[in-house]
Amino acid sequence: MNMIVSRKFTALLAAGLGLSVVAGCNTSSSNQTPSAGAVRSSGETAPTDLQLLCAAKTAEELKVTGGNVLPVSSMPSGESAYQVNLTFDGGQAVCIIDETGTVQSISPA
Amino acid sequence: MIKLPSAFRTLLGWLPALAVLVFAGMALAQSFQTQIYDPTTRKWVDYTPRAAAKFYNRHGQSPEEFRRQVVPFRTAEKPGTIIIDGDRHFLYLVQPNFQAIRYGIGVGRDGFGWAGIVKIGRMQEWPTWTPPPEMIARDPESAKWANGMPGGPDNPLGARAMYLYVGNKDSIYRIHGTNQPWTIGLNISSGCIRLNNEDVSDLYSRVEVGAKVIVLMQGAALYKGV
Repeated sequence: MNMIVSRKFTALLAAGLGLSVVAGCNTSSSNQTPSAGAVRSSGETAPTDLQLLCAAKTAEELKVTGGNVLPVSSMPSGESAYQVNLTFDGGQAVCIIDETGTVQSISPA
Repeated sequence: MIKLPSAFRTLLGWLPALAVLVFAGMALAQSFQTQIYDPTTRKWVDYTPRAAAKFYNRHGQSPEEFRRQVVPFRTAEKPGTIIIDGDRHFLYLVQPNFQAIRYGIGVGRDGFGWAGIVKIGRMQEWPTWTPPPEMIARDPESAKWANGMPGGPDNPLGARAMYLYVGNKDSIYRIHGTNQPWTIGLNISSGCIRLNNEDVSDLYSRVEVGAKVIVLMQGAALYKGV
């Protein structure tokens, strides 16, 4: 009888521990739960300012007349960088920029 | 030499611009949509006009992300420049010290998005709205305003309008207010950029004719200027 009670207690303890672990996971993940009313875009582009930094650097590097270089598309490139595709009067270019705002490369396309 | 009627010559002059507009309408390869987090289902759902109206009716304003706020902004553009990110539904007004004022916006619906580098050519308080002929064709109700709807709270252009020019030519696009404030965050216009009336008045008070306006929209065809 004592053995049965002991087994039941052990099982309950294990279940409780298991639940607490699950609850712990939930608590942890709840920190990442968006707040009500949070919004996002359905697609992932480079942050606006990084796109413009690429455009400015490209205008400077490629000596674009008038300096008007327009980002036309962008996408993640690796874990912490973005590829920004650019157009300007007379050409196109591809710029890679990291999240800190450092331009890694500019290639005429 | 054949002498063409002046109206026809005017139309010919606008053909390149019209071609660009048609191209812009056809070339929106990838339309980004706003999504909103639904805490009930714990899922991101599309921020449709219906969802937007429901949110606005419940909260009396748009989601917090779309409310006016100062944000860090690393850019080489000079203060006073306007940068519009149509994909994320934000308009940035560049400020000194790598900051910007960010406003929520509504942009062109599928087929009406565009990108380019333009400038503010004219500004107007409580502007008159004149529906273009193609809008009247789509919506006969608008015909009564064919000669212009006076400015006021029911006017679709809202409290202020900033007319976007390419060189000295009106692009037909504007940054303006709205009589439908719940539409901020949506792809809903005919290509104009709309803010709620309070925000457009704030922006209007901070910008000048001649300000550079950079419009980003992934997949949209380019307007002129680049």
